[in-house]
Amino acid sequence: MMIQAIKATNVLLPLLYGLAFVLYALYFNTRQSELGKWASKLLLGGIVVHLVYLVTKGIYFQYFPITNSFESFSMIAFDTAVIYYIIERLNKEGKTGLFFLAIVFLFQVVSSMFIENNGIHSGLLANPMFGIHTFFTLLGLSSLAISAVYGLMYWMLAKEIKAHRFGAIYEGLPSLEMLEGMGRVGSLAGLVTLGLGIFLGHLWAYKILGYFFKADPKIVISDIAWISYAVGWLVVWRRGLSGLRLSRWAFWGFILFFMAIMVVNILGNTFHSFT
Amino acid sequence: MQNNQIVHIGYSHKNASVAVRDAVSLSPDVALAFIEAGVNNPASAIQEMAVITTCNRTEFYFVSNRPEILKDWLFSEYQLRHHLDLSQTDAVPLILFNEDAVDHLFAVAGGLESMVLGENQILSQVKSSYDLILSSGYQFPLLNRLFQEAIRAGKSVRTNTALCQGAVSISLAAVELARKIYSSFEKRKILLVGAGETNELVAIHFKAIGATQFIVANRGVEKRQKLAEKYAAKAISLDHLEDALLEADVVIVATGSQHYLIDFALMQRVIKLRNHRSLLMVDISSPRNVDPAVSKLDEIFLYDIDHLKNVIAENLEKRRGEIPHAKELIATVNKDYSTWLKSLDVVPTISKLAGYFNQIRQQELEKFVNKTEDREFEHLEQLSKSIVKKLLHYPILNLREMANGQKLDMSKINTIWEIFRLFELEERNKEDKTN
Repeated sequence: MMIQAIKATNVLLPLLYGLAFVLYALYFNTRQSELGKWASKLLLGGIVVHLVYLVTKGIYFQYFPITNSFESFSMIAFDTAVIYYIIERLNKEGKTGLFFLAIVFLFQVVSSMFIENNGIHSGLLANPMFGIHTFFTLLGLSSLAISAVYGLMYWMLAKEIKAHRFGAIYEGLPSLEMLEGMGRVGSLAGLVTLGLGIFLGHLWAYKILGYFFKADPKIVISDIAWISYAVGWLVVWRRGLSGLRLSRWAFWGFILFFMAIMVVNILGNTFHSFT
Repeated sequence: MQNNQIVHIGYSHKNASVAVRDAVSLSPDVALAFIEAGVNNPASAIQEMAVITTCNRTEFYFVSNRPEILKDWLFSEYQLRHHLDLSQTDAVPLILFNEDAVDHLFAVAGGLESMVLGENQILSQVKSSYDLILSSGYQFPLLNRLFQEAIRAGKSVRTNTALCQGAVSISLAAVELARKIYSSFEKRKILLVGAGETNELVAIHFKAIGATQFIVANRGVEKRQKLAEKYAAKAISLDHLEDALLEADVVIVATGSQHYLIDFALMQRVIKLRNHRSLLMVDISSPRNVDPAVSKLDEIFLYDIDHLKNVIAENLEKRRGEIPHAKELIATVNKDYSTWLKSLDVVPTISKLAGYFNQIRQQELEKFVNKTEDREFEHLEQLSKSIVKKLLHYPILNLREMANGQKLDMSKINTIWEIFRLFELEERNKEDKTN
């Protein structure tokens, strides 16, 4: 019964997110507030269903459901949806939903298509602390990605305004100030949750494996990347950077951070390889 | 209601010069006096009357059973009250009847008839006319409903189409641009370089969206002080422009200067000192007062008057594209009003109801034709007529009152027709006539 519910929800989730994406796209194009309200409600519905799905799965299989790529994809979709929803509610601005729901929808579609709900996983990963570590890490990465996308939007809109072009981007996106504010929330949330995720990773290693830090390239690079991002954030805050400079920093900061992690993940195959 | 017609007589930018429009324009008090004169004078045959008066139009809406005399009555009122002989002017008033008049009012409320397509103010002016009807103390059921529907049509057009969106004036276009950069203006500083009419208009629009901090920079002391006082602004001379540029978030330049007041070198310096904060600069001057090279700086969004004119042209084009949609919405409201109007036509129902009762009366009387003496039969006939008359008295009275009080609609009329099978009666009568 429970497994059937899990499988049904696995199909339902992309449908919910897909429909929310369509509504956000219509809202972006027509700017009819009713569409925005419905899109937001549907997104909240999707998030609730997704949460139930993750909890049900965790209870049924007795592990935190982030043990393989496709489960991680679903978690990224969930985290992105949650972070975006919070930013949208804080700013009462839903015109950027189209871009994030596209990401959420794509990740969930790939996850739903290839995920195997068979409960096979490494026993090491059944530890709840690993789940929390991964959850916060992915939440942090999603938030930083959201911040980078806001930076990109700022950049695009600023370019349109500067060039006196009044097309779909000009019409559809909120003001530059709003984009900047939304991006700031994303990057701060990302910095905090990613920091927490990395710290919990070290704590988990200490509890399970007996050491707090290991000279594993992935760990070293992740730590350095996070510290660099945090220092960058401090510099931005202290110097009061805003506008184009901030948006460029948010975008390139994330790209460099992500590239560093990707490079060590592709090249290295040590500590973080779970089978 | 039977012979009453809704009539529109009006002057607007489409059929009258500014001089005529100014001459026929009425203040609310005078408009009320016109209404009183119309409805209190039986010779005018005006049952109901309303007036819309703005700087671009003065329109009269009447309900009357003698529409042919309304124009003369109106002209005589203008002659009497304004000493204005409208027959001597070149302008010919636009006269519309019934559905055309209704359609026209809805189009006016929707902004379709405005000089600037989709203009917003007209809806509040239609509301003012409606308020005038209400405050007049007269019972104007048809116009009351008509104006309610017009306001609904106007709101529907504004909510469901982009007909009224996008700035169509230079000052509003500047404000609209600023709104794409900043989301709120309470803490934003607006620097007005120049203290002329254009910058005053800009200040009005910025104030309307929440701006409270203004700086007025102008060469002439008196003018800058005057504008600064109006908007609780800081007044500075042009010598202190650089300092003001450091603080400002929006700069509007509208002066008569023949050379650049703000050049590239100045702004390069300013931007560094501003820690690269974004700045919107709108140069409405002709010739331009801001060096176009300034736009090379990443953080500066520079617009001149030509750019703003393009914004306005694009907005107007977009508005024009919304006309068919707006017309569809208006047609829907018009249909609702027509349906309601027709439902008020209770005369056929009353006549059919009376016919139904009389038919029964006659059928029953016929049973006594050869059974009673002539005199007795006459008594019976009198009695039956009197009973039918009394039976019908309250239904007919109530129907008329409900119609006048706008409490009647098509569904209620239909119920009466169904209860008494009036549709069948009508069909039978038609067949009888054919045979």
